[in-house]
Amino acid sequence: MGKSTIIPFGPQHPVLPEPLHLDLVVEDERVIQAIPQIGFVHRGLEKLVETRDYNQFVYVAERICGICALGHSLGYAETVEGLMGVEIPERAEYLRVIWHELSRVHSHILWLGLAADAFGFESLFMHCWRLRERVLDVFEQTTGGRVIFSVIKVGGVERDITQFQAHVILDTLVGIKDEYKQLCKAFLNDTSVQTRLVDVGYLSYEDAINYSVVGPFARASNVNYDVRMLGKGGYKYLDTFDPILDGQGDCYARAKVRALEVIQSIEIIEELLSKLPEGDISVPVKGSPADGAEYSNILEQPRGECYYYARGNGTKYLERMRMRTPTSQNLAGMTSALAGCDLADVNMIVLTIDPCISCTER
Amino acid sequence: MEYSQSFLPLDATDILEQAQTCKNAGWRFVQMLAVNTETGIDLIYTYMVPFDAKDEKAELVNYKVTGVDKETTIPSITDFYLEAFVFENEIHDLFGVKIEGIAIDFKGNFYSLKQREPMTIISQAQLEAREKAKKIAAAKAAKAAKAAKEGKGE
Repeated sequence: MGKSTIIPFGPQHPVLPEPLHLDLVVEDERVIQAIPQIGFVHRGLEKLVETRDYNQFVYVAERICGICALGHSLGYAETVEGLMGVEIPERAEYLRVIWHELSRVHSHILWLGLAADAFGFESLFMHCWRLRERVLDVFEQTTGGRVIFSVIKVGGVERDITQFQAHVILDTLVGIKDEYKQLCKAFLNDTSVQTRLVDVGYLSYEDAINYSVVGPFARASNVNYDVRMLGKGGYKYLDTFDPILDGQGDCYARAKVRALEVIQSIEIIEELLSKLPEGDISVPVKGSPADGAEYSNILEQPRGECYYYARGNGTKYLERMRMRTPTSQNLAGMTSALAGCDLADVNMIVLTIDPCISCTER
Repeated sequence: MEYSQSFLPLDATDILEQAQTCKNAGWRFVQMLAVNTETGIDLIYTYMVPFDAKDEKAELVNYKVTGVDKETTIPSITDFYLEAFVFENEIHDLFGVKIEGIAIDFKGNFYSLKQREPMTIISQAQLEAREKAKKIAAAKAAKAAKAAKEGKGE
């Protein structure tokens, strides 16, 4: 048995988009244990709910993270609507899901690019992010922003999509789909990619259940759970929804699940745009949440299930707003996947849980 | 699929037993959070009842422990749900709740905070808003009582 050494990984590392520290207990070149530490980007955003009323806080919620911006504003708005018993118009539900799925497309393509960059496939990284630019262009045309959209509000949405914009979205998605499938072939069939990802960072189905992991990280270990299958919000208008699963449980499976979810999201957007109903896009929301009222909500963000909790106190400020993000749930599963891996594989395993540390710490 | 949520009371002495029951029944641990109130800290443990894609119902259960004070020590549930260590460390750092037995315990160094237990400090804006809401509620109640009295008088 070799001598144990502790090698610090992060908080600054080329493969990490955000600071995360891991103490890697290593024997020879093998990781025996990984102890995570976060806390480098804690901004105390949940505390801000005391000084921003429930309408203003939606703009704080979407600034928790740049990639999950729309997801957090959506989850927050749904939670406050549940707290106050507000029902939003059908068209607003459709629009929210369309934007949310576009957000998933851009997030997964971003991740595929980062993963390619992490194992040195620079040209694939650039092609992925070039493709992603087209999704950001759609966001800019329909919401006015590329990263922070400010389009969700309590009671509905701020902007509508015109007939012309709907055609632009459909045309863009058709264009993305064909080119994206070419990228997927390069990503999933390339031998050098498979060497870096197959049989690396294995998480068994049993461990995935034991550690309650969520999102593509869980579905890659055959855990059949996706909040969208519950038919909440605008997802109830889908004819059918089946989560994408893969039983391999390794880094390759996680990449494959995310790669296929992009196609699934594009098909969801196409379905909803084909039957987008006419009507209002918001309802006026008056008054304040009742004193002592509380509500919890879950939403499937690109990284997994996100839990929201709100409690009112009779004032326009919420007593408490809580967001439990998928990465904080997946940290324990990540440490299990790291145990027993080679030191050189640590960066890929960490990246394949798609960590969003800004969301985790808020 | 029908989705529902519930809030159920839980005593601080039953936290471990409830966690064990949920683990044995295959319930998924969703999260743990704390709320600062005037009567102490409320802790909410959320679990999801296991369901299959063919089921018609999915349920989120929130167990609420109320009025935890600074003297009370809460047991950690990381023996059953290791993933809870993130939330328990966070609650310890932000709310000052004493939790013993956390599997990976950062002993107060999980977050680097300028102020200790910042979530237990109620801001001036929040206090003023609560005072105002109380006055409005009292005025409404007085008006309703007066209207009721005048109604009876007629």
